[in-house]
Amino acid sequence: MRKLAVFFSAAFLATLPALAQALATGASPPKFSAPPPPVTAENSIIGPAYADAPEATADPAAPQGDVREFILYSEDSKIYPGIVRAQEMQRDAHGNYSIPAGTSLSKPGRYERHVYVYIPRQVVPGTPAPFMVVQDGHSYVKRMANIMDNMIAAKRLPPMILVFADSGGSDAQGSERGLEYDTLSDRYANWVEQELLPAVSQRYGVTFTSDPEGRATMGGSSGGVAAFTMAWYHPERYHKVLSYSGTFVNQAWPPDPQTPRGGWEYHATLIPKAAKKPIRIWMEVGEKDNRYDNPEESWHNWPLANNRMAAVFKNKGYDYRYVFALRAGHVDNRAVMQTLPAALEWLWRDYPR
Amino acid sequence: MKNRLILSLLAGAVLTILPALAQPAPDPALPKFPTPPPATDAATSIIGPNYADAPEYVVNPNVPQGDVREFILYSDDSKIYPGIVRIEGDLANKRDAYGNRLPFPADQLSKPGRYERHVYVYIPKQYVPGTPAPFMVVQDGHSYINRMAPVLDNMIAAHRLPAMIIVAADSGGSDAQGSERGLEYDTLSDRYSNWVEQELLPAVSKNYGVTFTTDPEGRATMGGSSGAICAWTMAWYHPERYHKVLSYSGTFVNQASPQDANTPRGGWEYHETLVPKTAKKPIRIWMEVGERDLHFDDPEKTWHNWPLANNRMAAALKKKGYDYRYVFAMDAHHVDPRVVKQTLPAALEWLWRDYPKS
Repeated sequence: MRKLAVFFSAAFLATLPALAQALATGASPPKFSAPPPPVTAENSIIGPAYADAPEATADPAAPQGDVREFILYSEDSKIYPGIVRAQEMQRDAHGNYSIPAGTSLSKPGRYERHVYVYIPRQVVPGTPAPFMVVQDGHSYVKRMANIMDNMIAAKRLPPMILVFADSGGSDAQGSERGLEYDTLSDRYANWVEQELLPAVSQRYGVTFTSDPEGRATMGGSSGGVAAFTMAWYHPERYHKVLSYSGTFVNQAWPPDPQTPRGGWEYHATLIPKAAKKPIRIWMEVGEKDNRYDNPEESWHNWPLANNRMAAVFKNKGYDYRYVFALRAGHVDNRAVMQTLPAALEWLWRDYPR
Repeated sequence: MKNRLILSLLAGAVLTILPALAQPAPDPALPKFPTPPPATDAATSIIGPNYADAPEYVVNPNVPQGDVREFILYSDDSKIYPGIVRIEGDLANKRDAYGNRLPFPADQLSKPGRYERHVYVYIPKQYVPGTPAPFMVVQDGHSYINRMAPVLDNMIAAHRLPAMIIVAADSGGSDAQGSERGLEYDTLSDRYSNWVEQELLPAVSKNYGVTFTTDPEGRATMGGSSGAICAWTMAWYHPERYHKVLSYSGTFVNQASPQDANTPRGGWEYHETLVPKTAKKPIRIWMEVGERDLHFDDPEKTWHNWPLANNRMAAALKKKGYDYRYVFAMDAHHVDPRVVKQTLPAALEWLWRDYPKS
């Protein structure tokens, strides 16, 4: 529960990085607002104003899926035994972090991870179900249950299971959440495969499809880059990614010499230099997203990073959609509630109902 | 279970906070009977209407910070509470003239339904593993655990409270007649106390390697609203288990369902018949009610006026020579957080005043 308080204060800081930065530096660096991307077949610019999609309204005529909850404890995890931040970070003018040489940003620490599972009425026990893994689960489970009920009933989505897992807590460099979501490796995907999905199967007697076309992952912010990372390092597991305000910026910790700018490397080097992978992605960013007016060299400007992601997807011929939401902030609830049903429908458009 | 556990829990929480709003509005022309404050005496005080948070709520980084852990108990695993949900419909919608729900036979008002019960456990740093710890069971645990942790940290470090464990358990959901929460908290019997003894405390012991004292002086229970009458009921039916009770806006009113022929007005019977007619039990109780608490101006015959019920409770306790304190909080509403944040540290200190401190 105290972990929750820490998490909320971290979330607060994440929404007000400019303030945190001004407090840290006392200076106001020059501004470089990221412009909206060109509108193309794949890119669109939306809002304001915003309106909630009608699919979010509960329909008593649609079968209501079950929502269950359980807790995973750090003591029981082989892959994520748990860390907490051990010292305050020093930030540069653009919010990049550093710590004194020879010191560690983290120390071992336990967590209690809540997992919420949506199981539609239409799932037939014993048959491998399509599914979606959702990062920061508690933020999405309530918003998505009605959408799933309504769209599954209308056969606009397959009857899929949603596994909403919280992170192991706190945020950004040195935290358990940062380790899980911001790290460029297959560690999180392996944790999902070896610990999360088996725990869900064991508790609720459901089985998950091994067809990558039936396996999706989504999230906002670091949960968005985590979704892409899962598919990037294991495209044989996931072909569908949905990202809101993805943290495709320099936020990985500890630093990895292979990807020195963390998530920024996806659009700067990794995607351009790698053969196209069979990943379909729907992504969004807000015009006023985190650090929208920081210079490129900060490697920390969210709209610029997402513009770049869209540009490299275009270059490589990926199957993607990119929405640039005017006046929207970081993982802006207005944008999520307007766009999510259509995004899901686009992502799953050719999967059997 | 209801298929939307979280939503129903939230709805339950809203109902808990605003039960009057969740019910059809009673006729405004009905006569009003505002409950007057009680006479003050050595045991009874009137506080407010201006309130201030007690300083013990402020986190002090220089004192040891107890651990707060969480786990979930599932209805599927419970022998004593396998889980019910209210059958919403005409019966559940019925109200008396003042907007109160009515009791009905269990099979007409409820059906089997699963729940997921969150339990939060505070373990002070001073706890020595292997030693039987004093403890307090807190109903509606999620509402209290965050507020209480710094209070316990600060007061244990200052030797004003013993190094006790707090077991803050949520109910099985929803509220009032026909619900799992109502069944657990509003029923006059030893069922809830037995569940704590046989299912809740063993689960905590198993998960965290702690042991609990069997000395009733080291065993307390507290809650607000139905969680408060539940605390009293735990001690009333098993005074050899609990000698300490702490109650905010206790639901000592007619809210039990199904109706029990031995206690036809539910919790109202405590002050009306049970406490007066029974030999004094070794229970110490600190209790509070708000001047503007639920149904504060409804007539006595509704058996549903919270301030009146708590006034009566205090009077019955006084008459039988109980060790009690009663606080009547002016301008305060049901389980008013302003009152809780002003009074809880002193209430805990009074309750545990003669228990050995570490």
